[in-house]
Amino acid sequence: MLPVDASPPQDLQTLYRDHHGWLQGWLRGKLGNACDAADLAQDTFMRVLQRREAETLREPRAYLSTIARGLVADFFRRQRLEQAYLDVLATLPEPEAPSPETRSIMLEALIAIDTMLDGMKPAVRQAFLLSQLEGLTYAEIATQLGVTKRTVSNYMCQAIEQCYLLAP
Amino acid sequence: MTQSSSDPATAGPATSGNGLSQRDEQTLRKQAVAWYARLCSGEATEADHQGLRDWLQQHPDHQRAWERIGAIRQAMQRVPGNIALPTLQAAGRGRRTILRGILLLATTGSAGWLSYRAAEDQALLQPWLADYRTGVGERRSVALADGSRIVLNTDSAADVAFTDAARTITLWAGEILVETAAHLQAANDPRPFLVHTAHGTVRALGTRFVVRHHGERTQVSVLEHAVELRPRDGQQAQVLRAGESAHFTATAISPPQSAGNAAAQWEHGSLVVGNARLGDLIAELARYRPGRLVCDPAVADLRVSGAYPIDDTDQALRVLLQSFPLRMTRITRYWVRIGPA
Repeated sequence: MLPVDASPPQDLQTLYRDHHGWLQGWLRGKLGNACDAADLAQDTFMRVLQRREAETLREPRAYLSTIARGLVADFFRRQRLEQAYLDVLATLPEPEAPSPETRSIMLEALIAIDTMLDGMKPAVRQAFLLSQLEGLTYAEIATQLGVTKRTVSNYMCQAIEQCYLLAP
Repeated sequence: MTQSSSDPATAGPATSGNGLSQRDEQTLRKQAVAWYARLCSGEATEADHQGLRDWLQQHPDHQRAWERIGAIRQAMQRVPGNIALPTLQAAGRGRRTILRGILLLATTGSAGWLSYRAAEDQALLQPWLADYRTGVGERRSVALADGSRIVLNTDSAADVAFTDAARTITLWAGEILVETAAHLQAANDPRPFLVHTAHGTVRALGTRFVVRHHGERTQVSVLEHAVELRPRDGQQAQVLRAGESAHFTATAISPPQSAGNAAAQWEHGSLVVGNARLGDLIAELARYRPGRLVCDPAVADLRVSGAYPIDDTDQALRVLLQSFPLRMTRITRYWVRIGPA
């Protein structure tokens, strides 16, 4: 459980001075290495700076760890996606493999999609991908997933609604 | 259309009358989502498409909500499907879902709208709203008011607008065959017959021709008589005659090449090639089937000739496998690779 911090409103400088060490330690526990923890601690304070809410914080550590938790999730998602992406590239024959520049652009685009799809039930995610990337009809998706067309339609509505909210 | 919980018409309250004051973002979102889900089903009817057009006309908020759908499509199209699908499938396995709530909170604010590029996204959505559309593997013949005729090939979209001044077709995606041949009454119509694409205009000169939208350029093949090509930003028009084919972009026209009657054989369900690269033939066949069909570069330069059925691409592939030392690998049911045996 996070400690409740009752310190008075403070500016970002104070926030940094009082909690940076604590945050970095907290992140090291999540990530298992000091280098990534230092980077993400920095990113966390950058987010706070952008939001300009530091002066109204009543529970700075709860607030910081909420932001940091999101960044940790992004960090792991990125790692997992990058690995999957490299695995897929490895299966492509040489001429189909994209250039290094294209690769990094594509990776960013994949991360954007993955972020948009985050938290979807696997079947919902699969239905959405087959529809949007392969152009399959609901009947075709239903056959592949072993569900009814009606279910596919429900999956699609769920998926589209989440994307509607999260699309870049 | 059949009634179900996902129907756009039932997803929110009616939008007529004084509904505006009661409008809220959630209703708007549910409606846009339901429309899009309907269009993606593969079973959308002409009434659905008309319904969407009507809904978009009703209120600027509807347009705004629909632009979010455009943003989704935009995001999904930034990576080729043959890379995006397996990557995102692999990344999705075993995912923990604890963070969804945080992400939703963090990104649903008004800031989500800022990075949004409306014009680009609209171009992607335009085919959905076109007067005439075909799905993958579908063909459709449309008789026009002047007696002329267009045939839409697979996965195509076109608008038709006839005014006192001109007969205009706008090709948004895919490929159309246009027939204003001399024996048809259309040839005597004094109004110019124009086909617009993103890259320019094709003007029919009493003729039969094929226009194909390739994304970054337009291809025109003339079967009878002639057409005049005019790139959107180009100074010069160029006449293309029967048996010729050319590409154009917004600024330039390629030199004409000879094109046989094969260019329109798709109208009769055949893909006809003479001494073509196997890679090109496979890419053409891929247009007519859902999912992904790819050719291993190791065999892409094999030369092939013949007529291949586009309404049964599995049969077309079987014919190829019988004639050449090839092997077909099904990576998934909808992802097929043709490689060396």
